[in-house]
Amino acid sequence: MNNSNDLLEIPLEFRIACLLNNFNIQDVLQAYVDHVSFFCTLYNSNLPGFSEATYITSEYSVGNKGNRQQTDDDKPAINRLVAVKYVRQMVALSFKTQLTETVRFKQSKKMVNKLFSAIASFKYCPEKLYIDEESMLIFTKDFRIICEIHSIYPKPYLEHFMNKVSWAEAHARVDLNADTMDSGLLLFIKLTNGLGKLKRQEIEITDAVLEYIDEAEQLRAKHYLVRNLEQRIAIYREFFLEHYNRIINQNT
Amino acid sequence: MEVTIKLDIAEDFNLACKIFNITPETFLQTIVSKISLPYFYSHPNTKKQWATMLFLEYIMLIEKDDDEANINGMYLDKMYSVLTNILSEHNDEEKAESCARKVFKEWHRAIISKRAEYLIKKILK
Repeated sequence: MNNSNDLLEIPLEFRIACLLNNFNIQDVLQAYVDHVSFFCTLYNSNLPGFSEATYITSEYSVGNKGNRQQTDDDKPAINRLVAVKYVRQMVALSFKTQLTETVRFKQSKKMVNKLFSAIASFKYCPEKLYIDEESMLIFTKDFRIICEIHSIYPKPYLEHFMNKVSWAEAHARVDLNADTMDSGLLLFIKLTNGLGKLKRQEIEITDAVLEYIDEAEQLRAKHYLVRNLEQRIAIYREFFLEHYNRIINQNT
Repeated sequence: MEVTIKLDIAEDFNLACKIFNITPETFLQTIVSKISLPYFYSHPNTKKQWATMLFLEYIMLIEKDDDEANINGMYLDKMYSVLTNILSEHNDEEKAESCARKVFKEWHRAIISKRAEYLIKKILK
């Protein structure tokens, strides 16, 4: 079921969010992967982008401990003692509050590399994953370590993240000054605000695009009366879906 | 209702009016005449209601979280439900507009009495 041979399923809401922000789907997924940090799983971090990406990942790990595959050879993939040693070092580092968080983060890299080398084989997460004929994701050491430790393939992590992203929900929560927002959504919003310096695709300015830009600006005022979050999200979702379809159809 | 207003207009606006041969009064009067929340929300298909949207953008900017915000939220909800009922069942925009206006005036009375209450409390202290 979680066979890494199956192509990744990209949810519609995620496609919509990427298109309407002129993002390449692969770039967004790569940015997510790049921001997952093993070090951040060990403490309550506050590093923009890294904390959110790591949090969503840990959220999935905690709920979905994979079943360790029975392998033919008896050698464990991870030398437990060595791994624990490096993890202990990293936890100790996380307590060194006399150093700034960024400095601690930089210093953790060495330990992550050592932990990576201590893992004999990566049965769960390959070096790369093709999401379609032309695009591939490159998995970081941090990400591969996490997959291996939790016995979970990369696909479920990626899908878990993508399922959190909804442009409609992001707008509705911001427009209604909602108190909280899911980490996955926060991460995506940060990407739209410049985190990771994602390239924006060059798009053709069609009528559909112009109409979308025009009406998106009026969205908040037009629905000022709708105070209920769920209703607002539903209205926005319909709006973005309609414009997404128009833009796609005009491009083909 | 006529009010007298004193305004300080910036040079850019002043020059723009002169170039296009309009008076600031005419322009501002046009905008002000078009600001209507009951009309705006009862005519969702009418485009380019910029005047009301400008007004809404402004209130969204200055929105505060206080006692009055609660009353405002309540009446926004009421306007919303009145409007959706009428528009979806009868599709009568004019009826929707007049009902929305009734709610709007009720809202005004509620706010005024809330403020009066507050003043009275202050005086009696």
